[in-house]
Amino acid sequence: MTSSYSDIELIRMIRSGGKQMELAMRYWNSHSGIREKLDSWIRKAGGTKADSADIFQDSICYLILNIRNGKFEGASNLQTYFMAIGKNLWLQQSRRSQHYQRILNSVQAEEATVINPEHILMRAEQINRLDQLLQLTGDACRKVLGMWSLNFSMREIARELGYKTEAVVRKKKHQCLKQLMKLTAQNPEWKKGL
Amino acid sequence: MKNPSYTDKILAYQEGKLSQKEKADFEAELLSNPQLQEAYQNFQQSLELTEVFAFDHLKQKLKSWEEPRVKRMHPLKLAALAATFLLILGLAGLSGIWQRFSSGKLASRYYTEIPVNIVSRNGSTDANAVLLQMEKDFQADKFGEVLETQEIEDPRAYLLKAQAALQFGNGAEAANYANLIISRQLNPYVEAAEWLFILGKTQSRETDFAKAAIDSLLQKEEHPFREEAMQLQEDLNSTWRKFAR
Repeated sequence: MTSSYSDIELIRMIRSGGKQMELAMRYWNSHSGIREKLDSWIRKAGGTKADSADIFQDSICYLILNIRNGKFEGASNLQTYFMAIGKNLWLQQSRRSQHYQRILNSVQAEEATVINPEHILMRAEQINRLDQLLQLTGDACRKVLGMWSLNFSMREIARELGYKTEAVVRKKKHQCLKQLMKLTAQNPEWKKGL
Repeated sequence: MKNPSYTDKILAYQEGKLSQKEKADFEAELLSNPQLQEAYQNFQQSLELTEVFAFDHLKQKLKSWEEPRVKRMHPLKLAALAATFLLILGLAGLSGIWQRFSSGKLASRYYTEIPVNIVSRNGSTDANAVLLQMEKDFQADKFGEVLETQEIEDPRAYLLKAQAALQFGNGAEAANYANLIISRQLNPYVEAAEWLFILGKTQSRETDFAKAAIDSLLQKEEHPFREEAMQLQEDLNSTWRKFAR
């Protein structure tokens, strides 16, 4: 149906960012066959279809971010790493559940394939915590800086977010970064989580 | 920021706006000036925070690719849930229908007939090259590449993306692309788009939309997809009848 990519190709595409990264993400989302694998694991560990769908999406996001920021060191293949992210996200989400111990037991009984779980969990917690604080940055800035940090070109950002020209996006990005620097300087406690 | 002038200086450095000399001066000062070091560290931490926004973007993008899903049902709608389930089962049997109509027929009817050297509306050869590549990718079944190609304002590009989305099982996205042509009445592609819209809505289980669009299509006696639409309508109705028994 479509070309298949090796781990090396996917990593290269994700690192180069922008549309290449999106292509890798689309491939992973639709064709790697791993959705079913993670779904099956989460369902066995007490999750619903909706839980599984949500964890699957979050896991893709973390996979991409971890590859881009160098946290993925290539110690395992991408599928194994992805599954570890998904499993840990599910365990983290289940913590508050009264069935957590049962879920944990069933997981341990099945397998204990976890890769650097502390790191993955810590990152998820950081992002959740910072997310609330960074609401102050404003929706337009969040979108522009989010795409910019993923290496989308100014042209692509303008197209996707509906800005008239690349110059407008460039100016917006400048203002937003400035605003973000001001916020971080005024709130040094944020830095502790980084 | 403690010192606004540092902010501007750092941003100018990051954006590549400094001359060679200014850049060298900045880097030298960064080694010796603790205040600038502090400001620069703050800048780097700000960059790390953009990861949160990146996460948002990725999640949003993934959501936009998802088909509309049936939400959790209210207990009182248990009968409706069962009905939906049966309908989906029936529609699964129709999967061959949209595949048969969407890839082969549209491709042969519209794409192989499109001259490959068509210049886009603004005369840009760049857009033409993009379209050419999309066509090549489509013919080679590289549907992901077709969908990820940069957006160009050309109805043929929308048609290709709509078909690629159908191949990916993303009927909602297919219908959106088709709708771009229909809403702007970009002839002579409107009729093909109307059919793709129906296929997209059928695939994404939005049967009410699909049925309404079929009704509308069937009112046009000369519509090139009238026969297919009648067949699809019959199949959909037959599924409903089975379910209603």
